[in-house]
Amino acid sequence: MRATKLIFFLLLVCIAACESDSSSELNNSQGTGGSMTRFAISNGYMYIASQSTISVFDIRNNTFEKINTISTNGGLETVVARGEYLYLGATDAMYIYSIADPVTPTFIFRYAHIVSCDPVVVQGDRAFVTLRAGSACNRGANALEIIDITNKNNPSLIANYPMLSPHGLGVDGNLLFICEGEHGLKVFDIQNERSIQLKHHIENIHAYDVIPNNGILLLTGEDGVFQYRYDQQTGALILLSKIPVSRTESIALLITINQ
Amino acid sequence: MIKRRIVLYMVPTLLLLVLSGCWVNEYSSYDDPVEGYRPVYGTSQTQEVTLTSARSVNNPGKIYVYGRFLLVNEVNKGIHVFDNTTPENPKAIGFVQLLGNTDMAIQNNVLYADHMGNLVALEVHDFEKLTSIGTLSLQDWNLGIPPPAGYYFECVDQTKGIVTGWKKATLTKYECYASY
Repeated sequence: MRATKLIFFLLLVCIAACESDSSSELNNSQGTGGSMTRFAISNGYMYIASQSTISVFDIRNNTFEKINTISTNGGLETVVARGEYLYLGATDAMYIYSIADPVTPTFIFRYAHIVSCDPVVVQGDRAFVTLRAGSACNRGANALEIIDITNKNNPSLIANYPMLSPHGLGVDGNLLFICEGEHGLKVFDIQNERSIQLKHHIENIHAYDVIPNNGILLLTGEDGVFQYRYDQQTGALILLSKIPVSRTESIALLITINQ
Repeated sequence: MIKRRIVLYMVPTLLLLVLSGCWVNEYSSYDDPVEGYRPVYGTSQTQEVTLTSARSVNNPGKIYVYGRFLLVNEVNKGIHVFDNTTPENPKAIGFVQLLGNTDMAIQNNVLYADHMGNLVALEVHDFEKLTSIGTLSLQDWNLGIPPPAGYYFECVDQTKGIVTGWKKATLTKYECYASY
């Protein structure tokens, strides 16, 4: 009896502790998006990649102001902020902008390649870019490129791997997750970046974008939102849950998901 | 002879049509009805930014993680909110109606999301209610859903709002064509 009371009390303490933890953590924090996002937040500034402009918004301490717009070559699709840099995926290239002055993103480099759609993820001094020959960008190749970005003024290609129909991607340590659209999800071991190894391939789902988040992989696609627990060493995936999709038949929702 | 002449005239005409063709071509009306598409507009009610009860996911887009919350974009409609404390069992807790929405981010309990070509800032209060902080315009933001490529469609009337979908229809008056 006493033991159950004690356990109950400890549980209560735990719950209370967890709650206060999560709320304080949320008071000054930001979340995590997938690689297909057009929004990036860095040091209280928000950078939005629309078609041909980068807009800068000041969102520090309850302010909400648009403070700058930068014109680019166009064809922007994704943006990610890492350290003092923005990496933008565009239909014709990956662009690097400096945000050393956060108010004024400054062009640094255009890493041009074959015309295709391409989100970017960055880990350390490596950028991972997928190139897709899709409907919105008819030309180009389906591939993954690993790019050395140690020197932001002169990034160089390390390796190029053919893919089927790569969309979003995510990286966590030695694991690289690539969404292959209707061809599912691939998990690669990237320890040897000149010869990455395919560890797992889930073929029976549509994969659009992923977020690797502390050992849980969130995956979105036409079939729903899936969550997997992944082994950070082997990349083995265990399906935890699926948020299903129910399609409405009345209106033909013909949607280009990749806006 | 006459036939050949017609063909000769047709070639430059067709060429002109092809060359002028960017993404969406405008044509003059034809008489014969064709299978095409008619735009479905968002009503003024659907243009309101509100937090509603959870609804089913029809067309998932981008995803976002914030603490225990998992956000799933419903392409061009809004954001599904899940309590993801237990990833084995994400609980649908609500839906933020945001017409035209595709993107989102959260910092310090403020949700930033696109809504009809604008950027809205909403304090989320653990998604029990929303308070608006402001709305700012976005530059050259993709708006509405493009018509299916390779079909005629009823031209879009911007005054009717933004296009949230396309309905198959037999068109007698069709002045627009979506090329590939």
